[in-house]
Amino acid sequence: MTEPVAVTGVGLVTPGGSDRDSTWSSVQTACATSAYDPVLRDLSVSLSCRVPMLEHSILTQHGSANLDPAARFGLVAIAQALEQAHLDPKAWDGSRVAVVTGASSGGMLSQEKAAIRLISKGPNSVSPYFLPAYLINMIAANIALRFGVTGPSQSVSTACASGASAIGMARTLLVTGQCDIALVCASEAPITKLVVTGFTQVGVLSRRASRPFDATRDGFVISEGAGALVLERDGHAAARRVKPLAHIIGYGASTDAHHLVQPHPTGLGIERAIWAALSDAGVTPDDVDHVNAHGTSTKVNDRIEAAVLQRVFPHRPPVTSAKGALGHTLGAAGAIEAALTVLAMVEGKVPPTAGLNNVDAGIDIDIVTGVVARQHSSSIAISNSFGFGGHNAVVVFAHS
Amino acid sequence: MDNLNCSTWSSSLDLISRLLVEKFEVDLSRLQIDTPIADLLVDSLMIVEMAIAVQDTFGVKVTEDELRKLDLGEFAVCIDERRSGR
Repeated sequence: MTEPVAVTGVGLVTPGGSDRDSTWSSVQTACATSAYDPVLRDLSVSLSCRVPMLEHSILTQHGSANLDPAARFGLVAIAQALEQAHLDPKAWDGSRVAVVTGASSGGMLSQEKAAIRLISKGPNSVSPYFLPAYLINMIAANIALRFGVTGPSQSVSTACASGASAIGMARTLLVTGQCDIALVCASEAPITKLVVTGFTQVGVLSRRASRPFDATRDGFVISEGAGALVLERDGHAAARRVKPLAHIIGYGASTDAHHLVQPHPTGLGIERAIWAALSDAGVTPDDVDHVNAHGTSTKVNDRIEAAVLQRVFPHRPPVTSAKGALGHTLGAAGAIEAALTVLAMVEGKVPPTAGLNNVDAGIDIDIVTGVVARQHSSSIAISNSFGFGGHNAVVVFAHS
Repeated sequence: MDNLNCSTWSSSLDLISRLLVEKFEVDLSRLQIDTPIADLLVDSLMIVEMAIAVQDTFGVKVTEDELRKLDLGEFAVCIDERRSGR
């Protein structure tokens, strides 16, 4: 069992809204955000979930013009989280602050633009800002640059588990004393023709809507956004007299080693990650009273995840998936959903799963449905994240 | 020191000025015709990016060396000459 880590701030930039409150409002009213995307009009799948207009003072600073959208989302989410945590980067010792980011890919829009110019106009037409916008570590670098973070920095990539993996990494940096504050940010801006074509060819995108756990689900809707968390050791937050929103008490990870893009058929890897997280937290399954599921809305993921949840948690804690409302933000999802799990605990509610009308007959777990959040106090909750490549990561939160 | 608004060859100068402000985030107050371009474009990435922007905007080439040597007024004249084929 490891020392608890306090969550003192969260930030959200999602298709549900460009800040924490608007996102939470959208999710707890089951507001689906998918819409026809004219950028994708020539493709067989032309649905996406887009972040609304994003304005923030952090994006008016010099050097903002060439940022990839993924970096823009991440910077705004971190700024929100720092504000909630009552942390002023001008006053902190940056050498004791770490930043850990998660993403499944780098700046894909920047990559697409550069590739088009290379092909159509030749190598001399490619912007020198392409690479700094594309590299997967540059969200961390931009956060460090803007906020004066000079402690450890890491960029984690475990596909759609990246956000949760980043939380696990940040927690390790904190409990091993490598930093006093860890900024976690997972951000993704993948809505390009190339990425959407890639997911279409794998066969995981819906042409209709995101409907996690629904009998008619046929895939996810690609999405974009960022989630951020400010983490501190409990004693550090107490010394600053800041009340934590929640605590991270456990983390578990596993790898399927089964298939590049399909989960193990019985959910073996998922189940091992959950057990590892519960063991790390020093709790039993009975203690868990809310599950924020990965819930992608694909036929295979939701069936396997639900079967695992049914096995591990027979007492049927309420389950939700934010992907019905927000679509699938890929590498950002783990941090966005971790932040939503924290907000659910703070608010004493479990949001409904947007798009879920008829639970699949083969699924027997208590999924929150409808358009109103369920009043439910959670003492201990878990957030599941699973990624292509067989990466599984589970974070355990405790009410503060 | 002439202000940009007093320029007699405003076409290229106006477009360059707009590029500097909107794309390169240069403060408008810093745009004087005798300001070296290298003072406005503070790193090598910006120099390369400006060469590309000039090609895109005016259809003419400028070298990175020229951008490092010329002031804003000379740069605008250089662009004007190349646009008119002189």
